[in-house]
Amino acid sequence: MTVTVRFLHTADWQLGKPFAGIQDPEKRALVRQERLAVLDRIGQAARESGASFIVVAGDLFDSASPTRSTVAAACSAIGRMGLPVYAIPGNHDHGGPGSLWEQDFFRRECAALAPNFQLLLKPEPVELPQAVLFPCPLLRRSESTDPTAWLRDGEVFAGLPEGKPRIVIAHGSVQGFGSAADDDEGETGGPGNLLDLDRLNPAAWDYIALGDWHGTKLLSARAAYSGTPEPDRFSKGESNEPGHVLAVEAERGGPPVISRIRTARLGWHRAARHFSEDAALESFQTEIAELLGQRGHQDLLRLELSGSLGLAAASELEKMLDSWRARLLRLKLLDRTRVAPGPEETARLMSRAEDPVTGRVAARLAALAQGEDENAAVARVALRELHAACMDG
Amino acid sequence: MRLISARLRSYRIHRDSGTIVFDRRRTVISGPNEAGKSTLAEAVHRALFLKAKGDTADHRAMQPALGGVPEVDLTFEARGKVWELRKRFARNGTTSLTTDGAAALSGEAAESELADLLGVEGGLSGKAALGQWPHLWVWQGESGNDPSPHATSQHAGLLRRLQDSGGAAAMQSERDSRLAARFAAASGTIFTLAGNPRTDSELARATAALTEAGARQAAAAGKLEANLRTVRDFESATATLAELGVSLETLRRQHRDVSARQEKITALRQRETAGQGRAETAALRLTALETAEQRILRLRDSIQALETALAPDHAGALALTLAGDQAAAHSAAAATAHESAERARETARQRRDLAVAWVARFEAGARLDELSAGMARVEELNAELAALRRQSAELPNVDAAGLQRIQQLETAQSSARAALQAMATRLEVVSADQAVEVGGARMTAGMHQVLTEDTEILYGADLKLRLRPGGGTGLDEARRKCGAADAALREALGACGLATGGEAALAVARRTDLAARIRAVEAGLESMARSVSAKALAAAGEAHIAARADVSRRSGQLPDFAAPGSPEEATALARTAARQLEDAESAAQSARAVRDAASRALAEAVKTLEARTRTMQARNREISDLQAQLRLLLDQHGADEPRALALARSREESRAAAESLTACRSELADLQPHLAAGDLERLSRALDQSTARKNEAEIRRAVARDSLRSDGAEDPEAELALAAAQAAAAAEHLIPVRRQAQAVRLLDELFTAEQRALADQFTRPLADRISGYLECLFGPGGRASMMLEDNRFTGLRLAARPGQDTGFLSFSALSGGTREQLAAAVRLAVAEILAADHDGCLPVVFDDAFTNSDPERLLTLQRMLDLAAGRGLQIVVLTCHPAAYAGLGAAAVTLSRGTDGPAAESGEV
Repeated sequence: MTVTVRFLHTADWQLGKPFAGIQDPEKRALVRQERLAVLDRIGQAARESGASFIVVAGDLFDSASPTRSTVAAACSAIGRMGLPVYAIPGNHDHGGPGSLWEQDFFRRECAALAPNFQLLLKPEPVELPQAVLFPCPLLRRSESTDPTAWLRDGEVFAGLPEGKPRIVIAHGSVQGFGSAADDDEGETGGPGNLLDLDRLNPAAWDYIALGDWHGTKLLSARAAYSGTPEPDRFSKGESNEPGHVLAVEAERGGPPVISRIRTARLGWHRAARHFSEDAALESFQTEIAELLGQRGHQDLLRLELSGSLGLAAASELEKMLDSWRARLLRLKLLDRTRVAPGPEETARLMSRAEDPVTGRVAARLAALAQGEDENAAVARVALRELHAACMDG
Repeated sequence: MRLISARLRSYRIHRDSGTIVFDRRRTVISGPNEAGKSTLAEAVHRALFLKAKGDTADHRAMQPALGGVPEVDLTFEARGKVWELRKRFARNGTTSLTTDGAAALSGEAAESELADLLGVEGGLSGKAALGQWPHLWVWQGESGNDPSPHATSQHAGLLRRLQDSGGAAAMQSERDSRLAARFAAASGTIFTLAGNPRTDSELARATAALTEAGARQAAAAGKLEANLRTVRDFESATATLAELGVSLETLRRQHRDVSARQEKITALRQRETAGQGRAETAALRLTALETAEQRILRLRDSIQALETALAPDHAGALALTLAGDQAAAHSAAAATAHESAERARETARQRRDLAVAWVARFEAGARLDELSAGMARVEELNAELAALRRQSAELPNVDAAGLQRIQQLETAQSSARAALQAMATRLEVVSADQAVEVGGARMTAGMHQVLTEDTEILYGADLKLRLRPGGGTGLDEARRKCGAADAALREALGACGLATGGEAALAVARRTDLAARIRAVEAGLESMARSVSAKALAAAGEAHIAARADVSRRSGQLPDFAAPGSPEEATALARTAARQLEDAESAAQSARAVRDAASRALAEAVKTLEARTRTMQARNREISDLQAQLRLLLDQHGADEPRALALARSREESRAAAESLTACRSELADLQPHLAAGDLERLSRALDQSTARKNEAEIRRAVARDSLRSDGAEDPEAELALAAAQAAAAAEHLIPVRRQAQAVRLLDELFTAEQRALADQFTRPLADRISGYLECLFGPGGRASMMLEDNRFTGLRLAARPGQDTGFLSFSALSGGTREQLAAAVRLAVAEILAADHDGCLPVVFDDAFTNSDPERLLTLQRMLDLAAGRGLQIVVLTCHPAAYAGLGAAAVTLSRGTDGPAAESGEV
């Protein structure tokens, strides 16, 4: 008898991620808290989609040794989901020696708060009433061998019920997709954990639930990265769409039905602007205002600025940035804008006949400010200071 | 402005200086000390700048000693006109100023007009007045001071003129100064003088924050790395345990196999030991039986051979016994004959000895008699010698030399007496009826006396004569010599105890005779002493007694010996006895030779018989021993037949035991026991080591697992991420802070540099003029520099090496001479610039200004002064040494001390 099963595929919760790049502790706490809050939204989505269980394809935690606080909060949130949760350790929360999975505290908290949680630490089939799971857990941060290699042995599938859909759960990189390729914060997943799915017998499985790549990505009709349910970085590329879980309906021998459910609440944005004239500042302000709308403390923005601005425009830009810094959970600013007095301002400084020394100093600074090196940058700041001092009288 | 003439009245020591005319270019005013040169310079300066009306210390200082009101008349050019100024300095002093074409001015109006002409504030007094034109008036003793402050005091006009001559150069504005000060202060709050960030600056805080964040990041990374190392340790231990699990099983199996083989080897070795014991026992028993058998056979053979060899010895022994008996009889006869001969020889010897003793007895008696006679003669000679020596000793103690000396003294005495007698007066009493007393001595008739000295002669009671012997000093000398000769003779004779020389001669003759006799007696004694002595006499007595005793003793042994009556008989008897002794000794020697030969023959026969007897006895004992041994062996091993059976049985047992042992050893060799022990030890060692490694790996794994077990208090990875982010933020923060700090420092540096450049540009005309004058002194390249800081001239310096713009020396570092020369150059340069406001001319007064300059430098100084004059300045030099300025070509004014005060006299220098 063929059994159809509905379940929710998610991964890369990375609970306890420090978000160290956010300097403001309160904002950092808000972003960290949001990673826990999304679990409730996942539970709701599971319930609403009629899922029998939830599969977590690794990286529930950001590290293999999260704090007790994080562990307790996670167990509590998992417990609130109200249906079975099957998970494998990923590279971040691998099941190596001394990992949290071995900790007494985790076991106690899990038993008390999340009896519905089952961690699959062994590469062996797990038969459920509705399906058979084939977990490929990572027992160290970087496995040199393919974690799915054990599924190449046909004997693994011998004796298993033919009617139940077979779901492979794995964590790693497939053909360039992986956490390391999507990170601009300097994090690296390290070498290894490469999955060669082509070497698996296609007839032997029905769906592969993958983790590690934080964007939602369908590799094929039967294999997908769910991505992280709440984005945690400024992702690269338009096609990278984190912030989802996948609702999967599968049966043995047939293609699964995969649907995407949005779970993200925070907006991680990227923006760039090259200033060639001071007037461009206004359109830039409009662009960012449209991006952020009226929201506050819900967005993070990676802003890359270049070009050059006059002293007045630069001062105006600084005010705008101050405003965005306050509203945003994080403003990651890569500012390569050259700020210096404009030609007219510089000319006025240099032509101060009544102040001959000041004029001569301004002229020398203007000459030094030409160029891209650090000395030129210092000279530009000096020119700005001189300008400000002259304005002060 | 140019001085034309001056006249002083009642001014200090000047009652009336007369009109002193100044040359338009060069004037040298000379005069001895106290001629009033400095007073003149002071008076001209006071006339120009000090109000006439007043009672200040300056007014009082110019009062003349002889009373009166100080007056100065000064004629000068200014603004194209000639002005005549007259000032009377007093509490109610007056001033008048006149020029052609204008109304004469007096009082305050005159003072005011004068100040205007000179470009100074009018109506000055006190220090303000004294400080005017300090660059133009070089007061005595101040020529070596830095003139920069003077230039500053004139800076309003000087700066204006410098700005005019400096072209585009402009003064910095107040804003410039303010901004420069602002950035200098800002830089000072950020950086120390050494250029390092101040600890309380934002830059230092940002740098420190970055350092701290870096340290935290390193610590977090270290902690995480330690965790990773622990993980690797855990995995390594796990891998080791897995590997050891397989290898340990293999080792244990191998160890079991080798142990079983070793046990088998041990059993075989025990069997081998037992078999070897049995084989050895059987062999020993067989060997014993075979040895006994062989001994029995050998004993029987030996007994047989000995019994066969013993038979001929019995016959030989009998013959030897007979021969021995014969030899013994012959030996006894020879011994008897020898004893008889020996007795005869002994008797002959005794007789000879007795005869010889008699001869000795006679000789000893003769010797004794001879020595007794000798001893009597010796005693006689000794008595004679003693008598002679006594006689000699009794003679006066004079020898031949003493006699000779006495005789010489006698001769001298005779000579002296003869001389005295020759000169003396002989007084002879021929007859006298009264008593005659000569020299106090009574003389009677017939007596005479030789008078050698003044002598009073009394004759009777009335006649007194004084007789003075003649000869003068010769008599005295003769008398003295005679006295001396007498004394010497008396002394010589007295020493020998003699009275006269004749006695001495007699004594010497007797002494000589006695000495000859003593020597003769001593020679006789000495001759006898060699043969005669008491000791020899005693010995001869003892020898005689011994000879008599010897004769007596020997005569007792030979009662029939007829004693000889004389020595001759004794001698003949001795010769006869000696011949008889020789005969007896010859007979005894022959008998002894016979006896010895018989004894030797007997000993040889006995010896041969004994040897034969011992041989036979030995062979008999040997046969007995062998027979005993044979009996013992037969008792032990039985008779011949049972013995043969036992031997065959023993041989069979020994062979069987050897075969069993060989089989056992072959089996043992197949098991390679030499390798088995090594294998067992090796495998035991490997097992121990592997077990130890396993235990160590298990401990390592347990420790790593325990270390990795987090307590959940912190997340090392999150800690590192946070620390890294904080470090990045600190680095990011540091960039603008550092840029800002560097910008401030850059501004400070640029403002300082531009201010200096502007000042340099501004002061260059002045420096160039100074350098122009210096070239007169120091040749081409003589350069000076000045700085303008806060609109004040400062930093006057002189190039250390002409022609180079580096290595300037500060003013204070220069020598006294160079300082006054450089100061003069500066004054001239300043005057030259300021002269533009005074019709192109200003007077420069040097009052004894070059006292530290050597004569050679004074020559070049004149060149500098002449250059200044050529450029329009009016040079006035006051000096005590006008000759030093002869090269200047200046107009000369000489002040001299006169009764009416100094007086001036003009001429050419």
